[in-house]
Amino acid sequence: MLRINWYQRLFWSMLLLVFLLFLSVIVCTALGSASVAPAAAFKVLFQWVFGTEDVQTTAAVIVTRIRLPRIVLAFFVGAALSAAGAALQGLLRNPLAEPYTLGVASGAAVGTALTLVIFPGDTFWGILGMPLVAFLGALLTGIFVYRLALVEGHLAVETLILAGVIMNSFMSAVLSFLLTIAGENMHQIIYWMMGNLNLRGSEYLLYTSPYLVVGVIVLCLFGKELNILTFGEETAGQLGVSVERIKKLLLFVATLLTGVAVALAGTIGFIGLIVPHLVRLLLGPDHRVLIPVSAVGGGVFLIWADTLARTLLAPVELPVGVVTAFLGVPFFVYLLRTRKR
Amino acid sequence: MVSDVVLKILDVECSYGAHQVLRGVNLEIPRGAFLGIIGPNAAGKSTLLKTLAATLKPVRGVVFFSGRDLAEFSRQDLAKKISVVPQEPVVGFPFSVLDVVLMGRYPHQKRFSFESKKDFQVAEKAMQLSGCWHLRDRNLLELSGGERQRVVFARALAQEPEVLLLDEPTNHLDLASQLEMLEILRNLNKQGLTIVAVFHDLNLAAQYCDRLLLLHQGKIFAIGKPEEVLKPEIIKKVYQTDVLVVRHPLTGTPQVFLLPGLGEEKTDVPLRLHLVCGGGVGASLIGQLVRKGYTVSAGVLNINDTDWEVAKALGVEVAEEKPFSPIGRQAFVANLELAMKADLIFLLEIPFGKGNLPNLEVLEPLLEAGKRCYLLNPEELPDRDYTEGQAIELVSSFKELGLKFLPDQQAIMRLLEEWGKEEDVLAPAAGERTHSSLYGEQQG
Repeated sequence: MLRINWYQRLFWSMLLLVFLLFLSVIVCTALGSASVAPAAAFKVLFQWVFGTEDVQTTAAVIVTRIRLPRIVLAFFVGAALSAAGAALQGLLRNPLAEPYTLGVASGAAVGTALTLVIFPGDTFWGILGMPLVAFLGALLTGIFVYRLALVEGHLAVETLILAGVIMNSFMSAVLSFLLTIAGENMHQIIYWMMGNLNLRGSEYLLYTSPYLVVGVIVLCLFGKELNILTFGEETAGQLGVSVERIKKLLLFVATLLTGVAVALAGTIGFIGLIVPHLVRLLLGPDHRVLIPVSAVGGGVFLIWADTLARTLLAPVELPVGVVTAFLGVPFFVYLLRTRKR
Repeated sequence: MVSDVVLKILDVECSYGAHQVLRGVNLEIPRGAFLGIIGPNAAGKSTLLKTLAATLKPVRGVVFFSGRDLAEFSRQDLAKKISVVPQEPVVGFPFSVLDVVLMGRYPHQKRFSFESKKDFQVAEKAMQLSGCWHLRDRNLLELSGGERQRVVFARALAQEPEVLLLDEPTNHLDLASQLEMLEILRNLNKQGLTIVAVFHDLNLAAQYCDRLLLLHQGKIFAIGKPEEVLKPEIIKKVYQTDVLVVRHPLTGTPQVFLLPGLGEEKTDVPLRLHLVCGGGVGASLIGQLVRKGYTVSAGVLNINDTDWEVAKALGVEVAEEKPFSPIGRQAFVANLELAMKADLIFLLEIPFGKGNLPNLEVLEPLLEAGKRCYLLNPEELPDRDYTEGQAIELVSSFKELGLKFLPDQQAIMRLLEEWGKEEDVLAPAAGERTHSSLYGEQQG
C-alpha cells in the first residue's frame, strides 16, 4: 500500500474511478443486442447532456431511453449496496457483514414480494408503495435482529450475525410461501428475487435517488468514527465516540440504502461483500477512503455486471444477481485463501 | 502542591447481570497520584478501572471527575480528560501505526475535519515517548503483542489526558520493556499526570506506585502506601498464600516473595525448637524448619534485620531488640523464656561482639536447667569472636555444663530426622558424655 495521506489516496482513486465511470457509460451504452458504435453513443450522450439533441434517431432512443436509465440505476444500486456493506463491516468488525448476512435484504425482499402479491401489475399503489414497503421490511427486520442481539443493553457482534442468519432463514420461508400463493405473479417475483435491473422505470429512480445519495454521503461523513469503531465499542467510547448514537444512525442508514436498493433491483448478492474487500486490499482499511471509493467502484462494478447480464446470452437476458454471484464467488474464495497465508 | 481530588468514587456498586462485582467502593484519588490497583483474580480490578473510565455505569453510587458527575460529561469531553490503555487491545483491520495513534486525537478534532499540524505533532511526541515512532508506517496486524501495547499507549497519550488509566500495562512486555514503560509512567506522573493502573505483579506495583489499593471480593481491603498494604498478614488473608515480605535492597520498597513448598513430607515429631541467630544467618533455616512443621521460636533479633523479617513473615515467635542496639535486659529475659519452652536450642554460627554476647550468655541458665543446647561450627568460633576471647571462654565453660556441637545447619536437619526414630527423644540430656567429642552428637 502506498504510504500517502488518506485524502491523497481518496483524491487519486476517485479521479481514476470517475474516469472509469465515464468510460463505462460510453462503452456500455454502445453494447447490446442492437449495436451502436461507441463513437455514436458518445455523440448522443454529449448531445443529450448539453440539450442539443433534436433528432429522435434510433440510436438516440436506444441510448438515452433504454440503456442510459438502466446504467444509471445500476450505478445507484451498486453504490448503495457497496457503501452499506463497507460501513456494516467496519461497524460490526466483521468482514462477513453486509446487508444480506444481517437479514436486512431478505426483509426488504419480503416487503417487496408482499406488494407484488397484493398489488399485482403496475398499479398506483404498487408503484408508490413498493420502495416504501421494502424499506419498512428492511427496517423491521433490522430492528428485530438488533433487538434479538441486544443482551442486557449490550450489542454483541457474534449474536448480531447469528440473529441475521436466523432472520434470513425465516424470511426465505416467508418468500417461498408468498411464491406459492402468488399465482400468475410468480414469474415476476422469481425474476426479481434473482436481481434484475430491468424491472423499474426511470421514474422510480427519480423518486428514490435522493435517499440513496443522502444515505451514501452520510456514511462517507462518518468514516473517522467507523475507523475508531473497528477497535471495539469500549475503546471507541474511551476515545470520545458517542458509540450508541452513531451505531444506531449508521445501522439505520445502511438499512435504508439496502431497502431502497432491493426495491429497485431485487436481491443482488456479493456486491456489498466483494467491492469493499477489493478496495480495502488496494487502498487500506481507512473508511474515509473506503466508503466513497467503494460506492463509486460498486456502481461501476454493477454497470459492467449488468452489461454482461444483458449481452452474454443475448437476446436472452440473465438476472444480474446470477452474474454477480458467478463473478463474486471465485473472487471471494481467492480472497479467503490468500488472506489465510 | 495542591492536592485536589481529581476522581472520587462514592459508594459505587457494579454488577454484570446478577453477579455483583463491586460492592460499595469509596475512593478519592488526588491529582498527581500514582495509584496501583492490586488484588486476586475476579476481585473487581478491571471493573473498577472501567467504572473510572465511565465505560461501565455503576448500578449504585456516583463517580465524580473534578467534582462533576462523570455521567454528565459527553464522551468527547471525557476523552480529553481521561484516557485508557486496555489490557487486550482489539485489533481487527490493518491500520498503520500512525493512523492508530492519530485516532487518539479524535476528541480534540472538530467533526468532519482533517488532522491538523498540531495533531501530527502531538502524535509524534506520544510515539517518540512510548517508543513506537520507528513503527509508524507498519501495519498494526504485523506487530507483536508488546509493540501493539506501545501503540495503544501512544494513542492514549495522544489524547493529552489529565488522568491515564491502564489495565496491566506491562502485560505483554519483556523485562526491559516493562521497566522502560514504568519509567515513562513515572516521568509522566512527575510532570503532573494522574495515573491509575491495575497491576498483577505486586512488586512492580510497590516499586512505582505511591499508593496501593488492594481489592478483595469487590471491596477495598486495604489502601495506603505500599508498605502499609503489602504486609504478610494482609496478603495471607486476601490471596490465601504465605509470603515473605522484605525490603528491596536498593529502593527500600516492600517486595513480596512466594514461599515454594519443600517437596518433603511434614514431620510428625512435635518438637519445639529455639534458634539463637541474627544478621541473616538463620533465615533459611527458620524457613525450612517452619515448613517442616516444627514449632520454631527465635531470639534475640534486632528489628528489621533479615532474620527478624523472615521470622515475622513466617509467624515465628521472636524475642526482639531495637534496630542496631545491644541486647538489653528485657530482650535477654524474653529470649530466655522462649528458649525455656523449647525442646532443643540451637545457637547458630553468628559472630559475637560486645552487643550480642547475651545471646551466648543465655545458654548458661538453659544448660543449668538441663536443656539440650547446640552450638554450630565451633571450629570457626575464633574467627567469629570479636569480644577479645570472651566468647571462646564462655563456650569452653559451657562445655562443662553439657553444651553440644554440630558442624553446620545440615547437621541440624539430620539430627532432627534421626530424632524422630528414637523413643526417648525428649528425655532430658545430662552433660556427661559430651565434652570429649565435638561431633559425636548424632547418636543422641
